[in-house]
Amino acid sequence: MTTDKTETSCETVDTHVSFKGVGKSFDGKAWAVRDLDLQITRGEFLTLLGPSGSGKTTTLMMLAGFETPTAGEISIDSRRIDRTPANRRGIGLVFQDYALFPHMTVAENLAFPLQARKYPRAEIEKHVKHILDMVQLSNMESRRPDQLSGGQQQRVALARALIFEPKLVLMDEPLGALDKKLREQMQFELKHTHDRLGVTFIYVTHDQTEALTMSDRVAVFNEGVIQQVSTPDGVYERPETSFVANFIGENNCITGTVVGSERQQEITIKLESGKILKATPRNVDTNPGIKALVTVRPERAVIDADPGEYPNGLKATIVEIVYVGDHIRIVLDSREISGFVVKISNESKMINVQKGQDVRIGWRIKDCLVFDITEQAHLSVNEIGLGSN
Amino acid sequence: MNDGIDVKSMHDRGRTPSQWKYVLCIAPMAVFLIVTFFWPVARFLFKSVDNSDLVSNLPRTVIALADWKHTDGIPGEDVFAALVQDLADAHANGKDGIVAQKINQRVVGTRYLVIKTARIAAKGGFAKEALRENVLKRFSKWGNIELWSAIANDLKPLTEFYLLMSVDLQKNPDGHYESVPEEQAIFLQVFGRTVWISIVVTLICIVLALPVAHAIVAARPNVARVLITLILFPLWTSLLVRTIIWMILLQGNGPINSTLQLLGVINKPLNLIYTRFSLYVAMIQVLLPMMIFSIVAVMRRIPVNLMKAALSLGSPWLWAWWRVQLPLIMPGIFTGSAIVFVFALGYYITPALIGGPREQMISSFIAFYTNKTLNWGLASSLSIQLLFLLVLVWLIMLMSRFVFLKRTEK
Ligand SMILES: Nc1ncnc2c1ncn2[C@@H]1O[C@H](COP(=O)(O)OP(=O)(O)OP(=O)(O)O)[C@@H](O)[C@H]1O
Ligand SMILES: [Mg+2]
Repeated sequence: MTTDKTETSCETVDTHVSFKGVGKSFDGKAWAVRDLDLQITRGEFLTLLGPSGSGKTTTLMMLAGFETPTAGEISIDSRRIDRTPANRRGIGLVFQDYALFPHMTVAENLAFPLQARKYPRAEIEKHVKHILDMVQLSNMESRRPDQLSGGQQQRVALARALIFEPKLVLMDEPLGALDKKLREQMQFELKHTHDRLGVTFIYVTHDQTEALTMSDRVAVFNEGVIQQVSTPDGVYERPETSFVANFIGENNCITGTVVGSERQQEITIKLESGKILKATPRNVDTNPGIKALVTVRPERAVIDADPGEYPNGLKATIVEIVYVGDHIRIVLDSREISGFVVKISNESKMINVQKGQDVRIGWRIKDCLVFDITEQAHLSVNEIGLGSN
Repeated sequence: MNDGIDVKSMHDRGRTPSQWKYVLCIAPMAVFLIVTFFWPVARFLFKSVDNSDLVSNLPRTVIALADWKHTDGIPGEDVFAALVQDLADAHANGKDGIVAQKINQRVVGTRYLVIKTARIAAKGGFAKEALRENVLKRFSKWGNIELWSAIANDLKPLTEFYLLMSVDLQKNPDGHYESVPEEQAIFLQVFGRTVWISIVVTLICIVLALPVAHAIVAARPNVARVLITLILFPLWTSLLVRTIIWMILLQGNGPINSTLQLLGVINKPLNLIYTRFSLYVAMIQVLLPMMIFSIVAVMRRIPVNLMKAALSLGSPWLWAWWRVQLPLIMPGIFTGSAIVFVFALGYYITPALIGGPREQMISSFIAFYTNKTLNWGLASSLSIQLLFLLVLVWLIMLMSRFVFLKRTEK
């Protein structure tokens, strides 16, 4: 788990939140979160991304003060907050189910945090009015939550978490309950709000598209361990573990054995069929004989490409052509892998391929990443290789 | 217009069969309840105004006394003749006992007077001439004007006598309503006491139930099951066992008193049993589970995130509980209070067993008049007052709930 070079090289990092060696175990046996080291910069939009049960909510709840860490320390502005009760942490929190108070109107919900802080009445009214304008709900102030649509409830929840001007806002899958269209609109609004307020957002999701489009940085979780913390293009283009490679976006995975390395950033892999591939090592020793996983993104593989430009290649048969709208998915079977997916742009339909046709799939060395297979032994290649998106 | 009618008739046609099924589903239970509950209860409640025992057994007296007023003095020859004839008939029909009982209920100490008069009348023991004088000579009590006005006042098929008595009222000879003499007035006080005890029990149940309900909802499922079982124990235990436990616990040299004495808190045993305190303990023990379950049922449906949200928004725990949790628990408190209060109102064995004389509740009196003195008119009247009280409480509950929900809805 290392941070991308682009960010660590910056000298004056203004750390807002810091996790040091934080662990949490609910039952004293299994770790829900383990050895968590994470520095969050002030004003950053950081997303915790990971499959269900990977410890994202647990991490967020430890920061919010609703779970006590079993190990390690959490600090905000270099001050340890492990012992501070939740209601004194001054953190804005948005829940997946919004947790709006059902017996209060929108205005009363929004006034709640200010009343708790004993703001004078006039001040409260001013703030409520202001924030209602901000989330465009000015005419809904006297409605109760069940009289609002999902998107409106979401906005009230966000407004309530922002109204007391916290420096840090945590959101646990705040868009999980919305349909796709609304979700995209709310993603935009959230991002916009973040840019305008300049406060730190920590966002939890298991939707990778959401994570990639909104975040400054993404922290990928698996089984309570952070796999990688990086910019969106970092986790997509330069995954550090096979888990990240598989979890973020789609990947074609082929198992093979390391033959050796002739050059820096280049490794030779022999597939079971005897086929030799040249690839880029990500997280693997270059000692010969090591079992390795080779990955290729569907959009980086090309059909009937020039072997000079795309030196890696497999002979394969087209078994399916799926028109998806903005692109076309071609599924191929070869001796080495069945169900190899190639995405091609809509326009290259000109390449007149047909089902049953034998073709050569080719890809570049830099688009072919290799990972140690031992640390990924528990994951079924088929399951994650093509399951996402 | 035509369309509308067509649609409606089609709608009705479509609905009729299922309505019949509906009726068929309900019918057995309805018949059962009517036969075993509503009909007997209605019969019993009718006893509160039913005067037929008196009126139908004294037909001649009713007519003869029709125009009599207490200002006329002791009634004349014709009335005495009618009474003697009626009592003779009543004795022959075996009804003299019931007539005597009814008159005795109105003027205490006249039971033997009526029975003896009836017996002699049946034997023809009164001379035909100067009958009035003859009767008065043998039974001077018939010269009591109070007795005559009590009888004359109430010779209607329906009487208000018992209902008035159940709220410590009576009708004076002029036909005006007045309070009964102070030494006879008991029922209003007993009603007040019953309501007060029920209110106190309900309030204590609310206070005790809230933390327990919180614990049950927060606990892991199997811990919650154990807690619920523990709470249910008093309900599963028979009344006899529970009563014995209370007696052992609360007696002068029982564990509570001896512990307190040992600790030096008190130097002579407290009088715990046969007091208001012991009554509260016994009632709360049984009624608390109902309050707990009503509250738990509602609390289970409140998302835990609401409390977390309130805390994360900077509110102190107590304030968050007051503003967020309590309003949402309120419906459960209302339901639980209604159940506990209504049950408490009807308590009678427990107060009889472990309450002192000043802890007796209205149901004890109803039982007393039903079983001991067979004064069903009064028992029924007291029941009606209790029923009236229940309806009143129910209306207050309904209204406060309505007002409360309106406030939270706004
Ligand atoms: N209160 C709890 N008691 C016991 N175990 C818990 C508790 N909360 C979470 N866990 C366990 O901790 C692990 C991490 O859970 P967590 O809720 O943090 O996952 P998550 O990443 O938020 O998943 P999701 O995307 O489904 O919300 C899981 O294995 C879960 O079963
Ligand atoms: Mg979660």
